[in-house]
Amino acid sequence: MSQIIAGLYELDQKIGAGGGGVVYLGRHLRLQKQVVLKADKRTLSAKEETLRREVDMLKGLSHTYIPQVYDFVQENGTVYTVMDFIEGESLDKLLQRGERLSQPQVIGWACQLLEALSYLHSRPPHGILHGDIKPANIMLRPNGDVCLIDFNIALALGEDGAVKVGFSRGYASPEHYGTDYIRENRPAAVRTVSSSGTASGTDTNAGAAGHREIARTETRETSEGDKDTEATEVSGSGADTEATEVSGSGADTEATEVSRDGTDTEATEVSRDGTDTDATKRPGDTADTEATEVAWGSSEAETAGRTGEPGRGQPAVTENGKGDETGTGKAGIGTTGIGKAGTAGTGSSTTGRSKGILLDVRSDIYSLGATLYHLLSGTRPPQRAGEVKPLGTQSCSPAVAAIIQKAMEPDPARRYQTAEEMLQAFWQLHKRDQRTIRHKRRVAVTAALLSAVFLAGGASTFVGLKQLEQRQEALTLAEYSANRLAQGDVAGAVGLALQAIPTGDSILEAPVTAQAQKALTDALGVYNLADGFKALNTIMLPSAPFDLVISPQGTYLAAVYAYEVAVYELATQKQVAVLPAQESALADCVFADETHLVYAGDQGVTAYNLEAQEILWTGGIATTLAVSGDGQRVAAVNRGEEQAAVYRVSDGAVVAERSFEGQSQPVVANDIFADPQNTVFALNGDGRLLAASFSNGALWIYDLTDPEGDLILYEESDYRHFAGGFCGRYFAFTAEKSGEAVFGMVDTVEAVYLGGYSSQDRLSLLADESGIYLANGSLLVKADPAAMTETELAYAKNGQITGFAIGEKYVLAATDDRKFSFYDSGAHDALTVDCAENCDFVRMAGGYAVAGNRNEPSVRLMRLVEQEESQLLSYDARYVHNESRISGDGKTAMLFDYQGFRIYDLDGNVVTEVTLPDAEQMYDQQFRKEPGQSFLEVTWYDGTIRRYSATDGTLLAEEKGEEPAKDLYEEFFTKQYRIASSLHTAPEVYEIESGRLAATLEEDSYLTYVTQVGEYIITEYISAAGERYGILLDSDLQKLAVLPGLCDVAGDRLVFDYESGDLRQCKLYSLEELLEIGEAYLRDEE
Amino acid sequence: MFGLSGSEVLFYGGIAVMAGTAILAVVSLAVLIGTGRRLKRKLEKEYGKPRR
Repeated sequence: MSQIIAGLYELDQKIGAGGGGVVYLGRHLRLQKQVVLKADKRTLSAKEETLRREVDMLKGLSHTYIPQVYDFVQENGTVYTVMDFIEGESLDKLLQRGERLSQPQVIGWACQLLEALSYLHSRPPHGILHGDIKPANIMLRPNGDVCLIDFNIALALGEDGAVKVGFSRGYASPEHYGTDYIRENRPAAVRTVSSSGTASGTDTNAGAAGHREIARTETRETSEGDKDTEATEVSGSGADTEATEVSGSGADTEATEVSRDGTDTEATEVSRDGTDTDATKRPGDTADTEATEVAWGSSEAETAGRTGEPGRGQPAVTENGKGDETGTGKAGIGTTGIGKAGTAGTGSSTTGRSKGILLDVRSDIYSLGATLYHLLSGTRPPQRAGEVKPLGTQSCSPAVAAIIQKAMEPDPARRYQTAEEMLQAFWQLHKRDQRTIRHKRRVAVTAALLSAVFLAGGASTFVGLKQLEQRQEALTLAEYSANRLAQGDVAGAVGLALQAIPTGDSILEAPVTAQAQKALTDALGVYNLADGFKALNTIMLPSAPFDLVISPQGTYLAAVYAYEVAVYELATQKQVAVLPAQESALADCVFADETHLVYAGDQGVTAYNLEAQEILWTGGIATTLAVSGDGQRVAAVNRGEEQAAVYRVSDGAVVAERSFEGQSQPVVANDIFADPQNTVFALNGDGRLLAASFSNGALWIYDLTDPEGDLILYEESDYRHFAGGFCGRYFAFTAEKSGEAVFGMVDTVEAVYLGGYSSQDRLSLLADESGIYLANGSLLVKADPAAMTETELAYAKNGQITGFAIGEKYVLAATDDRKFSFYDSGAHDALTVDCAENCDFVRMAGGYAVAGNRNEPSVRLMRLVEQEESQLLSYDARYVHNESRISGDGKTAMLFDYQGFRIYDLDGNVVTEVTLPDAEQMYDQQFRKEPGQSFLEVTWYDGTIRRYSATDGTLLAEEKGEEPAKDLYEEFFTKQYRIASSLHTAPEVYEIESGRLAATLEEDSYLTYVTQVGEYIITEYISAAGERYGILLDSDLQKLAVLPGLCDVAGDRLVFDYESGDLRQCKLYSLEELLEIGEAYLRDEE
Repeated sequence: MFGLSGSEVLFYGGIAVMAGTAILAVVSLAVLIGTGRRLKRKLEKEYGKPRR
């Protein structure tokens, strides 16, 4: 059938025919390229210009899945559209062959078709509707892609404004069939334009996101009283057609409507009223019918519609099997679908009178859904959308079925509103699959859970770290506090201890450490109820002192350092004077009385009134001073000089001068390092005698009133270190040389050497009007020159005494083991204090004691504290005993040891005293407090047990039991722990629940009692030295306090036994109470 | 607890929890990656390869 068209194309063969026209396979003669030529049936009726516009519009389309239109030619009155030849076969062929199409394959085609539709629907100005999507119009290319062909229905715009719309049963949307059909299924979703005289458009899709409205209805008021209703329509490519096609010459209402022929044929004629006819009226209808009902304004269209004949120029759109000849090699494309008003046809397939229905992109979506339905199920969907059965799982996945079901919703409003939206649904099949969602949820939950746990771990670590840091800081502060306390700075120690205890306001703070609580307890000394000296303060000096001097009654302290004398009032620790002194370490200062200080001033010997804060007088230059016992005279000698002067303190008059006759006291070249205590320079009580030692080892006693009365103790000797002083008529001295020291006493009245002795140990001597005191090694004694006897004042257990001071009630002795100790009148060590260095100076007067050394610019102050308010019982301190216990009724106290016991009432009266038999065979003693009575239970090795009443000492019971083990093994129990104690091993604490060894207690002491008071555990010990003490432990067995002298725990009160014969008690302080006491202490200090 | 103070329990316990969580995270990651891949293969078989 070779035929040349327009001189360019040769028709080879007819490959299809339908309502829209005949399709030929042809060839471009010059390009020698296969093309498809479609002979348009509208040629006879459509204006050429109209057809050209449509083809021009299609020529502008370019998409991978749409065939390209090349040309538009006319030959012998037939219009040919030239387009791509698409190789392959249509999908309906596959279906006819019964091929089973896989779901992924169909999804892929669906995506391609939707991309093509999306492209078409988005063409300006209003998009292009395909209008007849079905398997037969989808070509499967050899490469597996599909191509959407045959735009026949889209081309159904007639030149007279009527459009024929074809459809394929099963694939066409309900809108194709008419309004009533839709209503039958989804009444609310029908898009109608109704009016009674005044047309109005109701867009049921208003608000549908993404819906590109191709068909639209407008209502506008054009003139007074008139309504101009324009139902427009459509457009697609029909941008250029809609406006021109619609005309209303003078008509108030202009409507473009589409009607479908009511026949069952696949071609439906749609007419557009291009005349002045009233769109709201339809022939034969009543005036109040809805405005969108089809207007058969065009006679042509009307005729076509009534007759059911295919409209002119409309490419045939046929259903498979009904004469459509599309097949392999078929290709075709039509023009635009412009908004068409779907009409309720009069055909038998619909019921009742039709109402105007506008087709839009959702019709294509329905058709595509129906096509996919067919491809997946192999079954063509029924014509009635409401009868479409959802795809089962045997056909496709539920998610895919849901997409297709939504696309095939009878109500357009419930479908995908755009191809893009449906495409998104396919694209997101993976993403929106329940398994994917579940997997993502699992990932999210796992990530969230692990993150939360990780963060919780991190938070825990952070809090723990901060707490550990804070704990470490607390430990350091506690250690600093202990050091401050050792230095005598109680306020500093309390302050640091308080800092070491967290406020508890933050989770970042660690719990209170036992060390911090112990530091606070120690600093406050709340469990030290013994009378005695307690740390008061530390005075800081500009430089290390050369000497410390305390006034006779302890009111003032004078510190001599380079080169000043600073005077402090001890009660307030305030500095009251700073006086310039000689530039020599030998510069001396002495108190003539409580308020008058004589010192080696830079201008000479100076007397200073501390109360008046004024200098009384100034004498000659001197370094070394000595005051008479009565405080009336002061002797002075300058370093290296050979004569001394004696001043009257009251006025500074020189009352005596004495030449040393060529002798001088030892002076080193640089006397900054000289020891001012290295020589004798002393006045006797009334200032009549002056004792002096010299660099040649001589020791003289000068009679200042009668040179003939001078006494020469050593005219010359090898001794280099002298000390000495007067006590009444007696003069005592010590002299030392390498490896030897001597002590001697002289009766100055009788001029008789009373005696003395030599020692290999260092001797320290203090002789004044109160007595002669000599320290020999570790022993400090008071010498009585009249009786030539000695009385022990102190014995240092661990070192040699290097210096001492004598007070009214106590003796203060410094030892060479960096300690100083207070001894009571019974020579008992009442308090030992550790120092950073050996103390070179210890002084004591009134209620104060001071200590310092030549290397540290600080002076420690201590004050005598007597705690009568805590007194429980005073007893005869001479009664020897090991333990003291208070009876359960609190009325008596029993003091006992293996020899016997004594019972006191709390008034201090002895109730009874009992001697226990056979002390050598005694195994143990236990004081027991039981309801109703307290008693002492004594056990002997032979198994004999006797119990003695704590009230009156009577024997309550005697029994013979088994012989006890000799290791003194005992067990004690608290709420949490079992404590095993034996004679030769340290007590071991086991957790009762787990049996785990929790701690080992004091190693060198024997555990005697364990008492639990609240959360505290109080353990009582006897040390190897026989001292009793207690340890206060917390529930974690951390040491909170040392309780020296603890002898009993009565309820929540601690009872202490002191060698002074005092039983004293105090409460067991809680941490809160300690904090209150500490804060109050600091407030008082401020 | 185990001879540790509360602060030490918080600190070391927190570290242990973090370490355990990290290990668990690695294990979970491996398991989830495995199941994710299996699911991906399953979905690709069912829907084809993901588009876009």
